[in-house]
Amino acid sequence: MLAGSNSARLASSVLALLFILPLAAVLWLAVSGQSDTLSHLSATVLPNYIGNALLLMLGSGALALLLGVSSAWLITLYDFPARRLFEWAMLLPLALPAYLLAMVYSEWLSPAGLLASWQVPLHSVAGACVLFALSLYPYIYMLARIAFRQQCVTLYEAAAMLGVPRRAWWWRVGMPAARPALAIGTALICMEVLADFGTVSLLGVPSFTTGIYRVWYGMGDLTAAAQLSAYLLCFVLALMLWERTARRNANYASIHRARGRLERISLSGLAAWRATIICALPVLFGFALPVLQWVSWALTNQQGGWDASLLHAFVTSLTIALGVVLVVLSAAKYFAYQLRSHPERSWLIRLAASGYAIPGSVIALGVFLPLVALDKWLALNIGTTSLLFSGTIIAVIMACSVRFLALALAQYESALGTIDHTMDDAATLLGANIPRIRREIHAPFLHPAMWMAGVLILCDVVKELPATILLRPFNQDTLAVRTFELASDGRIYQAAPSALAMILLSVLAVLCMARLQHPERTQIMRSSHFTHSSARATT
Amino acid sequence: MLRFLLILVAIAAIFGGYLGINSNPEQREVNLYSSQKLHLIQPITDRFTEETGIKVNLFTAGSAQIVTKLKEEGELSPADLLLTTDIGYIYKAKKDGLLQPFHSKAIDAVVPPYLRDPEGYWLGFAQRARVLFVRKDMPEEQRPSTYEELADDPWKGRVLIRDSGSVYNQSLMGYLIHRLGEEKALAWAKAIVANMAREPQGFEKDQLRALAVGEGDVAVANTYYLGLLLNSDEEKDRALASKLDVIFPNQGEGEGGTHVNIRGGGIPTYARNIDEAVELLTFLLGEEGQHYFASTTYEFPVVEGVELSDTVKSWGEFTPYPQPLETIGALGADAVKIFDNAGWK
Repeated sequence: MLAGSNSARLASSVLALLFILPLAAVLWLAVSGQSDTLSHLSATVLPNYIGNALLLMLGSGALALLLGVSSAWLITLYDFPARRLFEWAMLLPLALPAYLLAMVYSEWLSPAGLLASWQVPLHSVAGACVLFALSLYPYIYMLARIAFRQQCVTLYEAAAMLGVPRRAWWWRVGMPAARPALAIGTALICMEVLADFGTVSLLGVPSFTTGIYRVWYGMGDLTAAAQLSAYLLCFVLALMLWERTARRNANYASIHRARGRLERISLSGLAAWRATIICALPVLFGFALPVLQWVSWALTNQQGGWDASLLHAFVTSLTIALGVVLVVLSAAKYFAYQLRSHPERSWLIRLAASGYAIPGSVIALGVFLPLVALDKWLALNIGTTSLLFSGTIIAVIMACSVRFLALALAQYESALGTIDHTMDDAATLLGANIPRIRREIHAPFLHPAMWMAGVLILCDVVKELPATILLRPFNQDTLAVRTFELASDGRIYQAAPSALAMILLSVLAVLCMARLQHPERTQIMRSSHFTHSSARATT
Repeated sequence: MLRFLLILVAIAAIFGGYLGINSNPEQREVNLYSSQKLHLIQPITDRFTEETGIKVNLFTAGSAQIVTKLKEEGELSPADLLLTTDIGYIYKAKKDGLLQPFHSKAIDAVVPPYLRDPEGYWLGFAQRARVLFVRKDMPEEQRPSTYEELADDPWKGRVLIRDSGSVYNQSLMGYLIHRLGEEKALAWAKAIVANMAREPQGFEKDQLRALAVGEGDVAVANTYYLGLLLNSDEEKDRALASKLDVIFPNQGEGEGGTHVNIRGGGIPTYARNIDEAVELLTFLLGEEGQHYFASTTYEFPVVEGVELSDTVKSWGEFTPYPQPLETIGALGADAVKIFDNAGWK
C-alpha cells in the first residue's frame, strides 16, 4: 500500500485543512452574524439569480462540450488542412479572460459598433453562455483530446469488426469511453461560470455572484454575503459528488494504453474544409478576432500605458502565478496520491478543492480573516507591529491556491487513474520502494498532467481579478487589476496595453505546453522513459 | 521543475518588495487606501511626492472591500488616509468607528460646510453631479427638466440608465428617498423600469453612446463621463459625444436641486502618519489638486474659485440639492431594497 501510514494521513489532513480554512472562515462569518437581508433577497431577486446561474451553467457547459468534443475528435481521428496548427491553437482562448472577450463583443454589438446591424442579443443569458463557451471550451478540448488519444485501439478495432461505421464511432465508442474526462471538464466549466462576476456584470445578466456582491457592496451586509456563499459552497459540493458518481460508474479508462495508435484518416474536398472550419470558428471568435481588436485599441491609445509600471505589473502577475503553480502542484500531487490509495477518505480533500466555484473576492476575504487573526496574535504575543501575513504577497498566493486547487487535482487524478495498481505491485515485487516507484514509474505518466495543470493555473491566476484585489500589498498591481480598473472606467484604450500583456503571458504558457505536450513527443518520451525505468527496476 | 520554481518565486518575493518590507525607515511616507482607481489618483499623488518628498504608498480596491479591510485590520492597519469614491462608505467607516476626527484650519477655510462632516471625521475633495443627457437635436420644449419627469408616460421606452448595482444609482435613490419619501421613490423606480429603452447594461459611458445613436432619448449618468468621451482618443467617441447636451435637473423653484455626491477622505483611527495624511489632504484641496480633478476627471471642485477646464465650464452652473451627505450614506441599504422591489436589474 502506498502512503498508507498514519503520519501521511495526518499530514494530508493538515494540508487539506489549510485549504479549507478560508472556506471555514466564510462559514463562520455566515453563522456568527445576524442579518435579515436574505429574506428580502429571496422574496425579490434571488429566484431570478439562481435561475440565471443554472441556465448559465447548463448553456455554457453544453456549448463548450459541443465545441471542445467536436474539435478534439476531428483533430485526433482525421487529417485535414491546418490540423497540426489547430492541435495547439484550440487552446488559445484560455489566454483570453472571458471579461475581455465580453468587452470586445459589447463594443462590436453596441448600437454604434462594428456589428450593430447583426442585432444579436448579447446582453442575455444566451449571449453570456456563448461567451463563456468560447472562452472555456479548451478545458473540454484538452481533456477530451487526451482521452480520445489514450483510448485503446482495440476498442475501435472491435467496433470495426462489429460493423459499426467509422462515422458512428464517436457516438458508439469515443464518447462513452471519454465520459470521465468530459465530466471533469464540464464540472470545471460549471464551477468557473458559477464563480464569475466580471462577465455577467458587464453583460447585465445577474447571476448568483451578483447577489453576493449586491449585499456586500451595495448593502454593506457582509453576513448575508457570507450566507449566500455558504449556500453556493453546498451546491458545489453536491455538484462534485454528482460528477464523481458519474466518473465512478464510468471507471473503464484505458489500462492498455500504449498498444498502438489509431491511424488518422485523411479528409479531402468538402469534408476537409468542413473540418477546418469547425476547428477554426472557436479559435477565430474566441481568440483571434477579439485579440486583434485589443491590438487595435492599444495602437489607438495615446495616453500612455506602455511604461515601467506595466513591466512591474507583468512581473507581479508572473510572480504570483508561479507561486500559486508551485503551491498548488505540490499540494495537488500529494492529495491525488492520497485519493488514489484511500478513495474512501476523500471528503476532506474534496472539500479543500471546492474553492474553485467560490467567487474570488469571497475566497480573498476567507483568507484575509484568519491571516489577520494570526497577525494580531503575533502582535499580542511577540510584539510585532505590522501585518506580517495578511499584508503581503503570501496572502494573495494562498487565496489563488485555494481557488485553483481543483484544476490541478483534476489533472493529477485523471493521470494517476490511468496507472494500474498492478504496475505498482510488480515494481514492489521487484524490490522498488515507494519513492522509487513514484519517481521512475509514475513520474513519466504524471509529467503531462503536471504541465497541463501548471499552464492552466498560470493562465487562470493571471486572469484572476477579485481574489487579488483585496489582498495585494501596497503599490503592487497585477495586470488583471490594472486592466479592469481602466476598462471598467471606460478607458478601454489605456487598458489595452496591460490586457495585451496579460494575453501574451498566457499565450506563452499555452505555447510552452503545446510544445511539450506534442503527442508524438510525449509518446516517445513516455515509452523511452518507461522502458528505461522498467529496465532499471529489473536490474 | 517545482524546486526551480520555488527559488524563482522566493527571489522575486524578496527583491520585488512583495513582502511589504520598508527599505528606508527615514523616508516620510503616507499609506493611502483609495477606492479611487489607481490611474485617477496616482498622477496627483505623484505630484504630491515631487512637491513634498513624502512617499505615497497606494492600495486601491472597491469601497466595500477597503472598509472591510480597514475594519478587520484594526489597530495593526497601516492605512493613514482613506479616500472613497462616494459618501456611502465613508459614512459607514465613521459609523463603525474606523475614522478619527481631525481639524485643519486650512481645510476648514476652503471646504464649504455642507461638503464635510460636522464633527470633522470626513470631507469631500471633489464632487460629481448625476444629471440627464439628451441629444442636441431635441427641441427645447420636449426636454425633461426633473428626474421625476422620466417616470411619466411620454418617456415610455426611451430612458437609458445603468443597473441598480451601480453605486451612482444607489446614491441617486438615496437622494430620492430623502426628498420624496420611500413610497414615492419606489413608485418612481417602478415607473423608470417600465420606461427603460432597454434592460440595464454596460457602464456609464455606454448609456451616453447608446443615447447618441438613438437607442433611447434620455440618459441618466454622471457629468464627467461626457467629459471623458469628449476628450477621448477615439474619433468615434468624440463624434458621438458632440451630439449630446447636459441637463442639470431639478433647477426650478421647489424642485430641490441636482443630486451631487462626493469623493470623500478621512483619517483612520489607527493611522500612524497623521501629519503626512493631513498634508496630502491639504494638497488635494489646494489649487493644483482641485484643478486636477476639474481638468482630468472632469468633476466639480469643492473649493470655490478654482479654474475649471473648458469642458466643465461649457456645461454651465447649477444648484445642488442641499442634502446632508450623511443621509445618502445612511440610506444605501434601503436604496438597494427599493431597486429590488421595483424589479430594477
